[in-house]
Amino acid sequence: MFALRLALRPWRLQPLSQILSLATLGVLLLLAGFFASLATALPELRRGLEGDQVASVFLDPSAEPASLDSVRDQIRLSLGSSAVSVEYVDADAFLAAVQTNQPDLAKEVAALGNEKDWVTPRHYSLRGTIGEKLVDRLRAIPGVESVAFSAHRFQPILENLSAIAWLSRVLFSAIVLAMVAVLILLGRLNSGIFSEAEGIVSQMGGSPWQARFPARLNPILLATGAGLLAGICFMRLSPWFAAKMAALSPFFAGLGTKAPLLSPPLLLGLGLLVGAVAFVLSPRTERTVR
Amino acid sequence: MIQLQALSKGYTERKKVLDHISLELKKGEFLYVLGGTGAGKSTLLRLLATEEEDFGGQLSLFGYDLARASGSTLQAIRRSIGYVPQNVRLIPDFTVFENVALGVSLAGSRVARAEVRGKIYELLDRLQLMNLRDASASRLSGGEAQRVAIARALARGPELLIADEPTGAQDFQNTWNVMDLLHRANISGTTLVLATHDRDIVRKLRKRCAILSHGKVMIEEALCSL
Ligand SMILES: Nc1ncnc2c1ncn2[C@@H]1O[C@H](COP(=O)(O)OP(=O)(O)OP(=O)(O)O)[C@@H](O)[C@H]1O
Ligand SMILES: [Mg+2]
Repeated sequence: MFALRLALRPWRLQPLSQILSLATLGVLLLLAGFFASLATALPELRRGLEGDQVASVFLDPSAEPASLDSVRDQIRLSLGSSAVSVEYVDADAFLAAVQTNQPDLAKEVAALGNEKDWVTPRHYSLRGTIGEKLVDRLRAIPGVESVAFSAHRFQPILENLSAIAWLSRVLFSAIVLAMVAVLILLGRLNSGIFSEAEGIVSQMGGSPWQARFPARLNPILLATGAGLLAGICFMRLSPWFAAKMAALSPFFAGLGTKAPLLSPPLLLGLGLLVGAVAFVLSPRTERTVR
Repeated sequence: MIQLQALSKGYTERKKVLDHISLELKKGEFLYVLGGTGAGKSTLLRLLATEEEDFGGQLSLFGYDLARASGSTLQAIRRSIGYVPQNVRLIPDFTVFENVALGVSLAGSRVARAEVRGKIYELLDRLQLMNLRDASASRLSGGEAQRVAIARALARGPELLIADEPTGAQDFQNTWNVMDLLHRANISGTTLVLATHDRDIVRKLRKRCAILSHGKVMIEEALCSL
């Protein structure tokens, strides 16, 4: 009871520095939340892009249409349980697919008559997580003429994403350090207030723990309060954040849906944790209590 | 209860404020510590209140040698002491009541809350502080703050009461209110050490006294004859 009253004394005696520290910690925690979200969500988005590869398995033009089914079965067999969609494409299917988006192109192809089979050879279109090994196995299937594989389709973007994730981790760590620094500096600022009461409490028979506890409780309460504020703000701002990121690049579009952002209560936890670190690192006040 | 043997204390190398003082005080005794300003009265009382760490000679309280006492022993000793420092030392943004209640709670008594409250109110009433009980300690006058410090020490029900010029800032009426309370506490068993400049008190309430001068106990009398 008295510990809490003593811990909250700086709010009465130096309210401005307490409020400023609370606001600073709140904003830092909010930023930390956004960077932590990026750091955890981007690898998820990255995996999504990595799993979005296409391979075209071209069939021997001389093969009988009847052998198509056996080729398809062989492809399925090679895929095993991996999540890859298989779609048969011939000139007619190609025309149907192109019709809606590019009607002019569709007309031109249709005008080719029987030659259209030559322009769009029969093939199976595979989409999903495809590796080089799988491609080698596909090549070995009898009746397959060649395989075109987009191994490095998203490579530059994947590298961008991992750079941003890495940067986010660095910034997150820097922010956590800054928060601990703010709390320790605040502790120094408040040490005069606390050492006075510490002396009185220990003279009257308080244990060293009772004497020192208020000074240490103060940053924990402050950081937890900031965590609460930041959590609430984060809850409100995260849709906006996801929208802004999606506007920045379509590759961030899955942020908040496919790859979830940080859960707001974690910010409260982070605040508590930062407070606890400051608790452990906080310097003793000048008075040493025996 | 209190035993000093060749107790010395100096703040600088050259000058000793207390120089080989020996004294013994039994449970329930009443001792005036007298002497001119700067004689070392407050220094002696701070030592008794375990506020000073390094000193020469031997000081034992409640049978424990202070120089060798462990942290928990020291804490137990401090819980049994009520100390009214010369500079009162209240927590300025606590109310009068809270300051007194903090002292009681740190003494570790197991008395019920309502009972503690009643006891504190009674003391505040006797010290003419009742109308100030919810006032912040920072806005008290010097005399009022001093009486709050006295209430805080007495409310703890201490075995040893150390009061450093507790009437130094009081008017006539309050001086005798305070002395009446201290005397009552002494009669009911509290050992009392009182530093004062007020000869009037010493003459009217005659008790044992030790007069300090130049770091020594110049005169020690079982019944003070100032
Ligand atoms: N913390 C300190 N550092 C250095 N010197 C001190 C300190 N405290 C007290 N002194 C010196 O010790 C001497 C005794 O001081 P003390 O406060 O014990 O006197 P006192 O008898 O209580 O005087 P008064 O009647 O004015 O209260 C004084 O000369 C004072 O200057
Ligand atoms: Mg003095």
